[in-house]
Amino acid sequence: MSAPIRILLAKMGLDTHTIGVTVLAKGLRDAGFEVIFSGFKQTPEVVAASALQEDVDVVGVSSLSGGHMRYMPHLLELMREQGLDETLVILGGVIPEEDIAALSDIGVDRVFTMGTSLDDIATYIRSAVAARRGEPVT
Amino acid sequence: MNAQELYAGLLERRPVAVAKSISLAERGGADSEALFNLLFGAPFHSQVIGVTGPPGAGKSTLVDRLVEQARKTGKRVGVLAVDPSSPLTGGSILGDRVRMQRHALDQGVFIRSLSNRGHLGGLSEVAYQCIRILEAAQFDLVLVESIGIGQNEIEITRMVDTTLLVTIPGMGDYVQAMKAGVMEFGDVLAINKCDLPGVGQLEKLLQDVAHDRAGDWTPPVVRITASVGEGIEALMDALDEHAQAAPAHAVRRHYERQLLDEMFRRALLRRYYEPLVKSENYQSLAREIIERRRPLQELWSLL
Repeated sequence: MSAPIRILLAKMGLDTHTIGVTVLAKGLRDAGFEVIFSGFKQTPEVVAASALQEDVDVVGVSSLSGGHMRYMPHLLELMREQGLDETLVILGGVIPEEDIAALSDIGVDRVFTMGTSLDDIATYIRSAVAARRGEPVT
Repeated sequence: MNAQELYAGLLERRPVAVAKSISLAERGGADSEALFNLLFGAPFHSQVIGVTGPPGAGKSTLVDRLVEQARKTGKRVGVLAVDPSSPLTGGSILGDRVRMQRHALDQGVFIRSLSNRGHLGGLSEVAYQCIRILEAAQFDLVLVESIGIGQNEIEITRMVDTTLLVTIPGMGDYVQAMKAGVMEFGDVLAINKCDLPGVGQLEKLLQDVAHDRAGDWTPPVVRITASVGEGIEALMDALDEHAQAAPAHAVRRHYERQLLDEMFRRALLRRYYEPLVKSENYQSLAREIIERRRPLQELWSLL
């Protein structure tokens, strides 16, 4: 059996919309993931340092108040500096369609917009992590 | 990174080596054993404290305060925070880190969340390997925060230098329940949330428990309120006093001896028992004994 998938869930800046990420945490736990909660109102520096110490497969960022174009580039830059190039980075919440291409360019692996089901997120993470680990995709 | 490279990285105190080594220990396997072989040779360095107590007693908040206190004296601190996994899905939410995030950017602090991954008793070996990883990386203080109350707690107490039991007032009945379990193990007893009513009563009860304890060490009872940082200095002093009172790392030496015996037992099984039991000789003889065509005594002739 392959090792459980570890995911760090984070919110950055002053975004106080915490329900989405809480629902996601429970959903991913029930899907068999190890969910590390990094708290709310964090800085990109803290999120990157946490991702390194926790050696997670995935960093999942929730953003509902429009800070993503400011925080995501910074976070990805810090993660690259720390050698976390292999870590999958996903973003979810209120993300305008027109930002998605730019986010993809800076290295965000996948953006989930409003209305995405938990199943879709879990399925995506499983197959993307399996591909990075070199395991067969089930 | 292979075991040699990871070990070299640990000696250089590189956070990424610590992170990857812990993941390797969790995965297990041949590389993990190779790393453990290297780790076993490293000398004792860390003061290892296990923090245990019922859910909601404030263990994570207290660990955060202990990190703060230790950093004032320049000690480097490693934290292992263990949370339970679901027996149904294997999933878990590891939330202890939230209470300690202000230390995330401190280069002298390393925090790692661990799921017990449904291990029955097996948690202990992974946890001990993680302790040794932090010790090899020269953390002066290692804090192991473990889940609620139960069998796992007792596992933790066997592999740390000092066990800190955290309790809170106002849960009357559970104290009775704990008497026969975890109460027998704490080296230092902390009463947290001392702004709640019922502190005096609980303190009296804990003092009774402490005085009934056999051995040279009477566990001190310390009042704290971790949320505001009250009593933390006195608690740290009590923890240090315990570390100095007992022969250095006596508990861990004892645990390591048992671990060695267990590892040797498993190696013997793998090398001698398993090939023999799988052999045609054994298999056919066992069949015939079951069918009553041969007497049981013949089995012993295979030894």
